[in-house]
Amino acid sequence: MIIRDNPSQVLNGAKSAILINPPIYDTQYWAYWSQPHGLLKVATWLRKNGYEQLRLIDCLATDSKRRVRQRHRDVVQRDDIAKQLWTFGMSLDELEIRLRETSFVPGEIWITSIMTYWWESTRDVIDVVKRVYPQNTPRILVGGIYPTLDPEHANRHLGERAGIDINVVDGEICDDAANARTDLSLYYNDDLYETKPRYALITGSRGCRFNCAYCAQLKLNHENPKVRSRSPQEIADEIEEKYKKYGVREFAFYEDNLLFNRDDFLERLAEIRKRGLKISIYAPEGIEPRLVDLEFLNEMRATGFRKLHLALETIDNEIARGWNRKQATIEAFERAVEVAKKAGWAVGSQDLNAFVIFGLPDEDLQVTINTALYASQKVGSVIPMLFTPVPGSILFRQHEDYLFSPRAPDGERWDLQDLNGKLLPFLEYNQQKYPWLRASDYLRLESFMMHLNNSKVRTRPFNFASAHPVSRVFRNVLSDVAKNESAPSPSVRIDLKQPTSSILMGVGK
Amino acid sequence: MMKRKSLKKQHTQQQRILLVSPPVYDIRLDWARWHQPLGLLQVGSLLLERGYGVRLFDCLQPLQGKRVQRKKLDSVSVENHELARWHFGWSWEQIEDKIEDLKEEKWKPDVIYVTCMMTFWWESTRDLVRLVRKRFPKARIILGGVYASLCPNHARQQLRGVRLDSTIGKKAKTEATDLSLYERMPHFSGVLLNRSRSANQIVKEIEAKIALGVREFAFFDDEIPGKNPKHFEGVLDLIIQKGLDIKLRALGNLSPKALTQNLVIKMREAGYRQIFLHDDRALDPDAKGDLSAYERGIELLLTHGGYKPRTEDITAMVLVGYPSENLDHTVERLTRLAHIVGSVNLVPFQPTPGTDIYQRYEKHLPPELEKQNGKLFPFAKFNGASFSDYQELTRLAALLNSKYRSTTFDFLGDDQIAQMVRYSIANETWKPKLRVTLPLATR
Repeated sequence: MIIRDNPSQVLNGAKSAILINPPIYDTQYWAYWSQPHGLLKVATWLRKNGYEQLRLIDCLATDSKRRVRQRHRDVVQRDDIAKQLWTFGMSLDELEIRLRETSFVPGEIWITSIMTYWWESTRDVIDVVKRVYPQNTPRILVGGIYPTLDPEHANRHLGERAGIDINVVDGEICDDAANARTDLSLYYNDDLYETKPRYALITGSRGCRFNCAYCAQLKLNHENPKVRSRSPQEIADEIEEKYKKYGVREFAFYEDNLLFNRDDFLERLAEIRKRGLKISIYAPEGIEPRLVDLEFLNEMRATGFRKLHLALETIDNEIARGWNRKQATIEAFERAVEVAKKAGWAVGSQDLNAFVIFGLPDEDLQVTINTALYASQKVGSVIPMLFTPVPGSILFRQHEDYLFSPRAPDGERWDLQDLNGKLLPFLEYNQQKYPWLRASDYLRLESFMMHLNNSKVRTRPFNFASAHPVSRVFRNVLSDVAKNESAPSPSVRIDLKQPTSSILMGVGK
Repeated sequence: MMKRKSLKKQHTQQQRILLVSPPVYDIRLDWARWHQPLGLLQVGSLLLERGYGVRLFDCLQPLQGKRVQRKKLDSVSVENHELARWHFGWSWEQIEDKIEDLKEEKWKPDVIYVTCMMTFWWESTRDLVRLVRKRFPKARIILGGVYASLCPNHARQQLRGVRLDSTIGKKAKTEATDLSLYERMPHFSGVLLNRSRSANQIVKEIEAKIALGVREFAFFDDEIPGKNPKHFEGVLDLIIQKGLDIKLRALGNLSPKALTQNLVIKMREAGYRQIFLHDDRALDPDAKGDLSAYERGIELLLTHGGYKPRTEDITAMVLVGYPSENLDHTVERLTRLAHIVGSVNLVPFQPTPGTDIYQRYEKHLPPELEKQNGKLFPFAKFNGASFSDYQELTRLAALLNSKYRSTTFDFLGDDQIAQMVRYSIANETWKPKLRVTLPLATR
């Protein structure tokens, strides 16, 4: 069953629940900010609604170094590279033990499911639940980004193997739940967690007025483009509570467009500062350069922001426009960097970072490289972001036919787990434009961007563009070789009229 | 006079000898995991053989973990740079504790042998001598090692009351080192290849160390194979024949010119896992250096040795900062070597008192030994360059040598991504086409 915008369907009188953040299957996972904040907000909301017994089994809970365990699961052959697939977090066997040892039989099991391409582990967790409670299986509710972006898929597949009807919660349960504080007591009151979290994720606002082609926030917010913010006082209260009660010193804002409501955000910072807490604040999902100004950055710095992640993505305004991001211009980025420097963020310090996106359909690889070099020269730290087609986004819809068409050599079709950006879902698509392109080239491209970050000596990385003789000679050596090379193939638009199946089945190659 | 006295006259059978390799003051400790005071350990072997009571303080041997500990000492000014100088190795408190342990055992040394392996490390040796003299006022202190041999007058002046004596070092030079002197077994052992020892003797030494639990080895000679490649091959043959399960590393002393197909196969089979190639370039300011030996050597290592390209398996050491260096040539050489070899490490040229090149260019050096540290690039000014230039070169080397997923990026590679990178840099297509310059928002 899919529950949408109907809190009364969610609450059916249960008084106890186990909340599960499943392990994940992926080739890479960065666990530094991995708290299941949606589930932790639900916990607070459930308590408010009379739930007396709650237990959290966070399979991705981190150790003291904020890392999760990983065990080898499989090898995925993708074109000319083999990617190792890992299970990150608690094993399903251990989860089963933890469920069995829980001192109460829950009335409900709440499961969060984040990335659409992680859906399989959510299904496997449901299998475990069924194994532990074969009779009178507690009611299972699955919420999070995946069930919201593809509720039909979740409804069709998650309980299928276990033979259970599950409840797919599509979107926010209600404002009250979405605005709730996260409940960290679930970690502190449970021996399961040797390391208690010393950080917290805060969602101060939801929604964004824009509809960038690669982003699914609009679908996530049920097509509501309005930015809805919690009050600055309430956010500051939550921070202060976590600071005092749990000793949390690091906070990360996870929001669709952090800076969008300028006055609101400034007020939030002022309110936090009023509390006089010594904290560090991060916005790891990045901020929009267009919205940056000196007052903003001065205030952010004064409140505890240590790192800035700027969404650069491309230096080509035409390409940005093609992604429905006409608001994101290179001029705005340039200005944001200058402002950031003025506000005290140092280039090359890794406190100032720029996201560069690649792996998109129809991308211009030369522009991606240009962007990476520009970002390296401009801010010193490049964060490569491999593109994942997210259900609900414009790009996903545009390429759905390609993504789910039969594939060579056996005509099998992909499912959501195959659309993980790290598995390069648009490789074959882009091979139409770049016939030489192999999966290893994407690895090389990513590796190139990472290398640009790794030349720091005495707080400064190597600047290939500087007037310094060392840079000049390096450029000359590269240019000498480039002189004898033909220019890279010009950008050719893919003929989108070509049947997708002919791309995937290798017809016409 | 003392120097000529025999060992037996210096020490009676009951004598107790403390061997000390002091901590180090430096801005960086290269090869930090691979330090071992070989000469001192050989002296230890000889003394043990002769029945002396011997103890060892190797202050660069980690007391716990794998890393050499360090603590900020002070800073060094070079041009307008303030460089942190570190105390590497045991702290003075830790050395005091070790001395206390000896005293509790009622073990007092009659003689303390101190080694100093680099001339520019003399200050920590001086401080060490002060400490041991205070704690063991009756012990005779004898200084050996590179500093004592190359700068005896400086040592006499700065470390008063210390005797300089290389006699025992010379006598011990064919000894196998004795690692049983360590309280905590080192993870590796340095071994000497070319010291008039047969392959059998060398391999026996390795076997004895395997019995102590050591599995990693490196030949510490200035150059391997050296003048007698057959000897090196003989050692490798014997290691292979005996099926010794060891890891060998060439720590910057293997010349690419020395590599042959036969040698590469044997090195791999004997256990060579990591190779740092020696920089063979003649110190010719105008020479960009012929890189054909590297091309041939790398081809052999990849084809016949099974070493992985662009990983930590093979690294070229690149000499920088020597007198009359043409920095442009060095940059070019570094970039091209990174392409051929995969990994590159800079080796700052170290002016060594007593050598021809030192004498020729001494007038361009600061008189203080500690300022002649190659890492401070003392010939920068003479070369028309600055310390900052060498910092920039170090940054470039870091870029070329940086590993992601264990491999380096090949800026001169034949692949399309590398070509696009070159195209972007050559044609400056990375510079965005800005429509207008917006004023800074300062509201």
